[in-house]
Amino acid sequence: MPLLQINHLTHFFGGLRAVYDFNLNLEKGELIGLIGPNGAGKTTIFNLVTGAYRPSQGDIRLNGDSLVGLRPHQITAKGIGRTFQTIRLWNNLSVLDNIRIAQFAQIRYGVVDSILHTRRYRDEEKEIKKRSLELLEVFELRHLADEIVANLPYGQQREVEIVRALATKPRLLLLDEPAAGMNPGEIDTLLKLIQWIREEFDLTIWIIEHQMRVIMGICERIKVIDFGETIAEGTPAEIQSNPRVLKAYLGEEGI
Amino acid sequence: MAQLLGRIKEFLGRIPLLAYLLGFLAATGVEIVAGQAFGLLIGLGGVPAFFGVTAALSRLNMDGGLGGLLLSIPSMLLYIVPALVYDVVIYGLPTLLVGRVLAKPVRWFTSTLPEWLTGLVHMVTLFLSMWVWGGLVGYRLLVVMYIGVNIIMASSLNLINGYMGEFSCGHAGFMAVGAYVSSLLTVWLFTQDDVFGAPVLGAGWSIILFPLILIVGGIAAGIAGLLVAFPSFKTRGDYLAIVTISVNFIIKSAIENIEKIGGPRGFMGMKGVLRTMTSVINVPWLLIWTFIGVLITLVVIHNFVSSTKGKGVVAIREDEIAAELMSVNTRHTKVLAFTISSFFAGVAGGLFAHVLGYINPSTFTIFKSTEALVMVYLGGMGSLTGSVLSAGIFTVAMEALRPLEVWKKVLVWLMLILLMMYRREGIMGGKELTDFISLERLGLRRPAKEVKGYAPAAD
Amino acid sequence: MAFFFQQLLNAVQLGSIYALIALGYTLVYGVLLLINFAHGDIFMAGAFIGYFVATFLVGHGVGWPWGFILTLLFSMAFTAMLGVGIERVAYRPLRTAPRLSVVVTALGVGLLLEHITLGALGASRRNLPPLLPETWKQPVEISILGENLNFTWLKVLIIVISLLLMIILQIIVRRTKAGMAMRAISYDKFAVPLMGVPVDRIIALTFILGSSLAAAAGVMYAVQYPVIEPYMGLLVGWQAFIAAVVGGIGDIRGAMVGGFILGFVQIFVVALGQFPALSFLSSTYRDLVAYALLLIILVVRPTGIFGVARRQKV
Repeated sequence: MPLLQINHLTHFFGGLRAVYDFNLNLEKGELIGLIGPNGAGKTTIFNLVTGAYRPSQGDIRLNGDSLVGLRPHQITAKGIGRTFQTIRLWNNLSVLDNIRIAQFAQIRYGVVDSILHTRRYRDEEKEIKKRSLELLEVFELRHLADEIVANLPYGQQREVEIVRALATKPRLLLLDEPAAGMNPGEIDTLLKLIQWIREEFDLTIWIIEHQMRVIMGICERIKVIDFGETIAEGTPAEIQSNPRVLKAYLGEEGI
Repeated sequence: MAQLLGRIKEFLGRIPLLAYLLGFLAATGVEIVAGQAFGLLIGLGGVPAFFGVTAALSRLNMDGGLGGLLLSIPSMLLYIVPALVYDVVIYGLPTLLVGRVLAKPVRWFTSTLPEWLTGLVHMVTLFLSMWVWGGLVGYRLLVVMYIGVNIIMASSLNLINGYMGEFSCGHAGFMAVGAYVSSLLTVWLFTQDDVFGAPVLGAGWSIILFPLILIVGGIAAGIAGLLVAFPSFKTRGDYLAIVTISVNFIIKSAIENIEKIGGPRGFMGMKGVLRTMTSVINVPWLLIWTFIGVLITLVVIHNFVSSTKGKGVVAIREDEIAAELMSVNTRHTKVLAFTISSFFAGVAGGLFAHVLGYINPSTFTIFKSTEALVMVYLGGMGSLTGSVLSAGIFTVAMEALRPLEVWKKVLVWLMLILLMMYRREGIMGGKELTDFISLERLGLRRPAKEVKGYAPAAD
Repeated sequence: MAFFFQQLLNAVQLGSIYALIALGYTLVYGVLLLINFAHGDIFMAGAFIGYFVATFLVGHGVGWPWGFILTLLFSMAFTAMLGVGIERVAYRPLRTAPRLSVVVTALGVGLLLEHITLGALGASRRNLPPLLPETWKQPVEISILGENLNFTWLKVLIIVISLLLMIILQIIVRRTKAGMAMRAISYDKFAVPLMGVPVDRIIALTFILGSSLAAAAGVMYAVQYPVIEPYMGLLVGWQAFIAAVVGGIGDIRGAMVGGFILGFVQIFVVALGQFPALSFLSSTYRDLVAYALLLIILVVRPTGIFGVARRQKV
């Protein structure tokens, strides 16, 4: 069974049709891309999958379980993690706190435990902290654990956001324009990083991107949308030479 | 000059907290023995009620217009000088001397005994000093208890307005619920009064049941807190402010319309409850329960917000949507935060009602809510130390400025506006005392042993 | 039937006063996205200023109708200056501050106004000197369709003046360049100055309009219910605020509709209390009902009747 199944996903914002009849079967372990001009509806699809919006029509299933109507935190707990187009870390908190909070759904202890500092509470908190520091260690960010996120440079913030997404223990990771604002050198590092975490954390990854370097670099399969509709689908090579895709990005004269 | 300041700072820093507390206790002893005589000697007319501040301000002439006011300033200043002398001689010197002498034994004491025991000793010493100092002049105890109530109000509101970044302006409503519920219960059960008739239970029960009744009041207030919690799912910012103000008003208005418990005229009888309690064991019960109430409030809120679960509250403030998408159950967290917050407001209300002895709905209007707001913003959002400090400053200022009558409130609101303009973060700016002075320095925690690998948890 | 008509008249009259005040809230919110909590106290200030102006005029022998007209105009003018002054001193420095600071400041300013009035003028209630001939306050009986109906000319006057002011406001907002600028600012505060619009002046205009309407409401309220006190803003101003929110804050139609709705609800709730079965509904319930209504609206439709939800981008 595919890890993620999206069937006939359609969404309206009032009278505006943002997504139309989007379909996807994502197998476990795949690394695919979603591209399209600005405003095509890519982030909206991510928002629909993660539950930030409730789809007007259509079905989304993770391992066969329908996600439609679930609250976002429930969907995340089921195994979908994500990063955002503009970084949405909790700015006035430390890096460590950002990673800890993302493990909210994995907490077993109750409020009373936290107030009374019971054994259960102390053990779990130690675990959470250990897990967080280990994750940071893996990304060589451990030394920044107590830094306030707002003080970090952009590149490191992006990394922290990825670590935070990983802290939610996802099976499917949605990356929204992870390479935004990066130069080619940084992008190459990013590509290696993405492939590495796919191996290391046994993930299925779905990327939204603009930059061809990323898409062509690591995506196995690509879907192209424009004005909410899917206009092409295939391997990077196929997409690159698809006239409809070129027209969408470059306009009629560009071909 | 700087050298002198440096030496003074060093001298003060070497005295652990417990030594200071014991020093203050000694000072109160000095005051009991020599205060009256000394006060007469230097022209204060006896023991000043509140470090001389209130007495000094009462020298100001408020009735004679601006001219009268200005003319009375010298009279006020004439009072301040001897008051300062009194404070230094009776309070300052004994505290410092005894503190210095006891510094070493205290340090030995705190580093050998288990932490919980030293913490307990600190608490007991603090309580004893409050009791002794307060006992000398009745007015003092009242102020101390008001400070306690205000600390509970400010810190519980801080959970919502500071940590969670919401804008709740109706805290007094929850206080009202707690005040009325607990007062009705205690008066009904333990005293003879017009509304309920004879006491239902014997006097002995009053001592055991009083804290439980306070908790019941808190629970009732917590349930009222749900009235605000659920709308908070869909509304934020200004709109939530309106919701909270409406709830405050609805609660006040609803109480006003219940004739049986006095309606707009209010309800009384709590002094009788206190008499019943002291008839069994003669101790300052309200001081005890206020003190314990403050401790419990601070511990609960602190423990909650430093846990990962509790940090969900701050995540909501920083970015609610991201929090929800990062697996934080925001609805659950909001309900939790609002109920905890209003629970403690209810407890504060119950204590307040019994301290005052009389309550009526117009005590719990938006004015009271804004007082709580001032305390939260003055102390700093998201800082419990700040709430404690500002509650203290605010309460004392309100009492000290009493001679100014209605103008004291003008000062309060002015202060709020200036705060918003020039120091939005409040006194503490979101930091806690422990960010500046470690617990080890204070003597509340034993010096950390060296551990390989991970550093000991600092939360 | 007669009873219904009387209550209807009362409701419209009360509603117009609420509407005038509500407009002030809505105008400022539309332009600054700020709930000017101090506005209710500006209403109170308008009533007090009216009191002093009226006392001065009547003392110098100015009678009807000039006494009334001049009181109204001067009160509107002075209160407008107060409103602009508050904006200048308290709100403008916080234009770029987080929303929270401004809202808290607005609360503070309102309370400040109340307590300064309290301190300077005392808590005793005052009466407005008579500006209208007594006959205007006497019930007049007319016969329509066989029913005997009572009304007073004063109530009619209030309704007429309110409607007049609202029409003038509509003209200013819809037909003048300044009005257009006001609406533009509510859409995009930062782009508008780049278009050459003097934002500060437009905002000042907003406060002038809002405050003068509130002052007019204050004077008329004082004439109708001749008692004024420093806490008026709390009693009446907040109710008008509810009206603005119910109607949809930021929308002028909303303020007007909200005002009338609130007037109706309040009058009829108390009116129903006249019937034996509902005798528990007394005037003390009036406020309770208003606030309960607000709460319900906010939960069911937070943006009010005409309000537009602002979508947050994820």
